[in-house]
Amino acid sequence: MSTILNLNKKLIAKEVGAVELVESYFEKITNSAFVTVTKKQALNAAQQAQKFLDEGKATLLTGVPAALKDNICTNSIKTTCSSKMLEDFIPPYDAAVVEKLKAQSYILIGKTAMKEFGAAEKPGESGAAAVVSDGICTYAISSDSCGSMAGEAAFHGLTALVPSYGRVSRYGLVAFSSSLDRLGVFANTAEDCSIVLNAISGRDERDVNTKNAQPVTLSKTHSLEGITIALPKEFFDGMSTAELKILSETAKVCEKMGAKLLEYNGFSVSRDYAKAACMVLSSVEAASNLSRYDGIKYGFRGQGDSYEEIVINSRSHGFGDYIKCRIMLGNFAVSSDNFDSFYQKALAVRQQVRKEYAAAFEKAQIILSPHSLSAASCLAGLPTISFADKQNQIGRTLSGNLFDEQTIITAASLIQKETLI
Amino acid sequence: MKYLPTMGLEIHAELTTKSKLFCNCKVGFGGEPNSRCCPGCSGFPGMLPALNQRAVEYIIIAGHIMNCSISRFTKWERKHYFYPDLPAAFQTSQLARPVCLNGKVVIATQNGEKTIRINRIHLEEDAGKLIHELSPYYSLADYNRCSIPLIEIVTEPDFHTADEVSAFIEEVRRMLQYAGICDGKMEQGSLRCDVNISLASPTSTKLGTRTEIKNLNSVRSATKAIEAEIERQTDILESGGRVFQQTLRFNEAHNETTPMRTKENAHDYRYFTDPDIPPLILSESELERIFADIPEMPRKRLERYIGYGISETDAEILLADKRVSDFFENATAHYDNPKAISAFIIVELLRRVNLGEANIEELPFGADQFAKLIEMGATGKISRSHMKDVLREMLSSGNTPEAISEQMGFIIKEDLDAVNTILDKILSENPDVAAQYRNGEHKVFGFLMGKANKALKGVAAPNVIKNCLEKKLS
Repeated sequence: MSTILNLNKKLIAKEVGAVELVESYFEKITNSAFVTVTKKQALNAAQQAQKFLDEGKATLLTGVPAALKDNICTNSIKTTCSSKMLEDFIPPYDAAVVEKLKAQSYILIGKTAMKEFGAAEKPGESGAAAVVSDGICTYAISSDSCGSMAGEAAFHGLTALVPSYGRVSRYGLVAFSSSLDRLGVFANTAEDCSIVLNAISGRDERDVNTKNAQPVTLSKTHSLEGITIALPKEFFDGMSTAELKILSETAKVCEKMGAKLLEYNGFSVSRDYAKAACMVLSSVEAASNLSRYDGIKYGFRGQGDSYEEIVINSRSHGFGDYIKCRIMLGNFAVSSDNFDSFYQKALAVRQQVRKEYAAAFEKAQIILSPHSLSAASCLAGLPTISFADKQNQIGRTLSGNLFDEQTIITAASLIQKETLI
Repeated sequence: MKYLPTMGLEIHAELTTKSKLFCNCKVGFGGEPNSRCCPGCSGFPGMLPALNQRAVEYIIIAGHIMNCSISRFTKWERKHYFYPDLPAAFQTSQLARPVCLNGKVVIATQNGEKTIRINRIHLEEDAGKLIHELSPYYSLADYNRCSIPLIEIVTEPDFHTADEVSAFIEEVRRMLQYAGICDGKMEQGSLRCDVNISLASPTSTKLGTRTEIKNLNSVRSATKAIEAEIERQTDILESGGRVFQQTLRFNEAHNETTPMRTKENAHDYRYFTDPDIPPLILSESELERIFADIPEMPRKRLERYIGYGISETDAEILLADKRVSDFFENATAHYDNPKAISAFIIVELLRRVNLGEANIEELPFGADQFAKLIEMGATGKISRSHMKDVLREMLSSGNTPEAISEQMGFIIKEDLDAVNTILDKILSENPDVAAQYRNGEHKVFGFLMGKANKALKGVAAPNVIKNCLEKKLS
């Protein structure tokens, strides 16, 4: 398994040249996880990266091959969201994350396939996770709205970091559900996730919800002393024996490293309603965000003799069935007849979920849960790191308080070193 | 009167901020289509709004001058509908928590002052423009206007005549101009209004069914549209019919209101709070800072001008155009004689402007030079009739009034010896008249003054002559 750190060492030691490395990665591309492969750009970028390496200006990400989910805008490179609606769309701008990665002379191998516009990926549907899992890229920037990245991490045995809402700029991320959309990282280790996180986070005036945060630093100690990890009873109830086993083992490892375990009650709303609320909110916002695709300005245009006909045909033929369902669901839930009983209720759930987490963070710094229950942390915009071993596809998710990526990444990294590697 | 019309207004005013509401594109009028738009205001994927704080300041100013209470917590909603001039297919507007609530504006009507209540003022973005004229087969979209900040001023149904409506539009326009937040150019669409209107028996406590006339872009067309609509609704009611709730447009050429679309209650804008724009919490100190910089409003200026002894009619003339009023203010700062300055602006300067000989925006001289001219006239340095000639010369050459008067020989030399010599001559030629005056017949003074003025024209100012003559006769 090649991690960012490994590759960086090899590049610095000149065991391998940046161009040579990139070429070897392109040889590995066999599957259809990419929508667009950016070989020409990657080779040019590799030459530039080699220059930086030679001049001693390289960072940890310089020359390291990466992938971007295809809903992250890339200047002059197609950004399709895996939708017919945008199959020929070439943005004239880079997303903020792309600007930041370019500044470190990263290497883009390609844009990865996704569920159309990022709606509810089921484990195995994310090209971004697949290319990291297959070793075609060392890491990938992906996006998450309702917790799909945790599922992918479990499915592929990867590490997925979803940072706090507002830590990474969404400028240039094609919006699905604005209040839930977050950019995250698929990588092989928690440590790699922290490297990428430090590269892409920070205040961006174009995304007014962003804030600056201290970079995550991983110390050499092997201790979780002083950390309390809450084990919410509501999340553990109803888990399969296999899941329970993995999570208990994880908890024990943490305890061994000095963490205090706390059995905790107080997540009943999060358990019972978070998923439904996530579905309603994301659909409402998606219906709104996807209204702009009318075939008039850019993207797929359907036939028609009038504005109405063009819009109807563009949207009927440009969108796939599932996304149309979500648009209909969203419009239904926010229509004046249903506003109170669906949208307003979902907002109330979100409020309640935030309260449940806030109460838990009074007593603990980390909340341990199975990967399948990440919708709640998404509603609250909390940072999560999920990881699993390749064999059993059972993920553990550590959630931290807002902007406290430091604690969960440290813990995840220690657990990984103790158990997986 | 068989029916009493009741009307409410919605005024849309574009704010004169430098940039648009959510992006850095310039705010402007005219120019190449789509030369002032970017991926943000054109609804491209992945773009995010960043609220223009200046626009927020401007609406707070608008609210304050219209006596609204300013919400300490305010937020924005998305209003969804498909239309080719709306690239994101939603307009960012304010529904639940507008910036301004419950204001009032005093207007002058034929029957005295009247207070119009303001229901709310909110901040939203403008839409683009469609160009249909180039082809019968297609239309073009121009996004230059997309996302220009717009305030919507909504009144209570407090109007009963078209005159009240036009007085209100004029007053609001003037207030926004004086506050420096909207240019008020209705002909360019910077200020547009919708009128809703219903008729009911004057004794009825319930309002009739209302219709709404959209997009009136001059005071004249608002007045005409209201008159036409009152007539239309009256005809319907008199013939026993029923007025339907509809949206109308005003066809100026035919002087009639015609239906735009039936007011579908079915249309659902699916409003919800914009997740990309955090709610705004306004602090007391921020509001105080903004209030402190608000320029004086026209009605306040009016009171001040009347206090100077200027007639209300003249004061209104000065105030009608902010640039004229500002010029007056500047001139009085240089020479403290508001009455004389006001009179000369109205009688002479505005006459030149109306004749097209001068442009108030590009005068070749400053208010200080204009003030100097008035001072020279008022203190007798030059005669009143010569002031007009000097002004004309100032307009054409831009020279100072002193230089011009000197050059044209208008300066009245105050040679008292010369004055006394001539006065002695006049008195010796008219000994009986002088005696009459000394005997208490003061009406003959005018006769002597006339002779003196004639003989001394250009030598001394009339008040100097008057003083000398009085001395000699006493």
